[in-house]
Amino acid sequence: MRNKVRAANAAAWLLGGATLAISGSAAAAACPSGATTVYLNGSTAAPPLIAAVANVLGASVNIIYQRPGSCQGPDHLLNKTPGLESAAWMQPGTGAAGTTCTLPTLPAPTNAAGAVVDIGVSDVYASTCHATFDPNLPDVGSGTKDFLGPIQAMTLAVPTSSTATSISAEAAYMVFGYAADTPAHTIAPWSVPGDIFTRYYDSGTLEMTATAIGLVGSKWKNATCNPNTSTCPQTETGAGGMATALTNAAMKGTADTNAAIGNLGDQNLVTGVRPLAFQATSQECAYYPDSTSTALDKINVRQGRYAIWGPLHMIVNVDQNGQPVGQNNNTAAVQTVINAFAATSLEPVALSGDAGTDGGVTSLTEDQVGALVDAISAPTVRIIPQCAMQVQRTTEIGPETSYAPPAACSCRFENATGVPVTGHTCTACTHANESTTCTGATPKCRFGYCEAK
Amino acid sequence: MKTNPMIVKLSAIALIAMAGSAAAVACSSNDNNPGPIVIEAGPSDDTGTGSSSGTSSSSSGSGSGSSSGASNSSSSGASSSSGAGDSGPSCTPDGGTSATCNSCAITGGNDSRNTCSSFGCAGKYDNAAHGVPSPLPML
Repeated sequence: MRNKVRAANAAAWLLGGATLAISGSAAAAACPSGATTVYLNGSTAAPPLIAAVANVLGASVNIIYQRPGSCQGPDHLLNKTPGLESAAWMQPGTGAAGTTCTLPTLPAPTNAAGAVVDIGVSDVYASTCHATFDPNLPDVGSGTKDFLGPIQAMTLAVPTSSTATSISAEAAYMVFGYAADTPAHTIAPWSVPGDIFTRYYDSGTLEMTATAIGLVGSKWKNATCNPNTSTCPQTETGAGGMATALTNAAMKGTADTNAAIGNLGDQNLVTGVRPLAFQATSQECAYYPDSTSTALDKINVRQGRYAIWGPLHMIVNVDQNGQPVGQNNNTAAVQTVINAFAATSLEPVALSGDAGTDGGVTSLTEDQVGALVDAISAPTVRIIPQCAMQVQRTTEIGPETSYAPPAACSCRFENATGVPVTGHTCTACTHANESTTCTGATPKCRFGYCEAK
Repeated sequence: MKTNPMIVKLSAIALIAMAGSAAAVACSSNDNNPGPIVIEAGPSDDTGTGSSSGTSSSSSGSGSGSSSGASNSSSSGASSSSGAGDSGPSCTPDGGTSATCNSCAITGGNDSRNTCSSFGCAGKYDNAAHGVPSPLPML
């Protein structure tokens, strides 16, 4: 089953390529290669974040990204299967789309254009994919490791002009489990089967949300129908397709506008689509990821009230010491990428006072980590650096506990979003004036602002 | 941007350590809380079940006194909390009994800690009023 899906997807991409060729489009340039090129494969929700990190890394690393879905990337890494999907060079300045490029032909037995994947990128734990989409997916741990990156929030999304404002986990269970197939299974206003959209169940966006509503991804109506091989008008293979489906539904009329619903990463929300406030099981309130439906502060994620969130997972091969190893004679570049994604959960080396000999200290300087915070927190990206979080969890939608990051960046994050949290006073500082400027509850100068730690 | 492999290793160790920690960390970062994090009075038992279990056991207390955001945390938001806090278990700080802030992090079971703050609440979604069956049908 799993191999059939993979072959079908590859065939679909090949067909797409052939169609482009026939239509006369110019062939894409060859992807860069060499020791500074790293091949990532996985989540369709993650490109805004990957682009932001690529911008900060600049010319030091070339990131090539293939985006078949969150449960596909780990498969390429853990099952050591080549990535045959279309590729984009996440060249700095080219945004989430990157620049389409052509991969070289891999040797036999592959004999097709593709990449040996260095990093599997997933919105969810590999165990989540194992439990639903890919029962044959090996566990992470034997020669591989899951590095946790910045935080993503997933949303149940509707057209901006919809009358709906919130949904509970139980209501979402009914809406996405049955897609209004009978009146008894219908939850207003989501009453039109043709306006209820889902992602294909290789999607981390879907699987994380599925965990939150207690309905495994394979049980979502239409989620197991593969649009690459079948006619599945309600099933989308990517975040872009989902956003388009919702905005198109809104153009059909008021009834369809109110009936339309789908699921999107918060960072994938576009003009014309907005999130619903979500009420998790046993919560007494529904919460937006942000303080309001239009804010960017992610305060309800950062403090644990909005439930559908998790870290980006970077699954990579490691040596006997647990250090990332590249698959294309590019280990140093792979380590650079991993380090960049993990850096916001660590203390910058320049301020650690022990020159990086202490566990939990990134090799990046405070300025470099600050640049990463700015990049991934920007309104166009909307990802949360771990240093801006106040809660943590260790399993998919698992219990949360309070979290004090080693080097907090709440103020730097809020400044980067462009709209500080109402009532939250941030005091600018330098390390030179820390002792006089940062007092009381916020004695540490971090990333240009006084923080608690 | 050169990466020290040892640092990467250490970073991994730190991540694992972070992931493995329960609730030893007090919510000192809540110093920056913009809104009320309210600790409700009430019974102390955590009756949480299902996916949220385990967090209650984290209330072992440690270093929570560092949370100087207490003044914000004890704001008048308490009075605007839902009634669940009055009828259900208390909002036990997950940074320990001496902590003065709470992540409001419980999202499962019957624990009402998730009602300990009304900050950002967009209103209750009433399942019964929306015709959501209880119990849910099995799929």
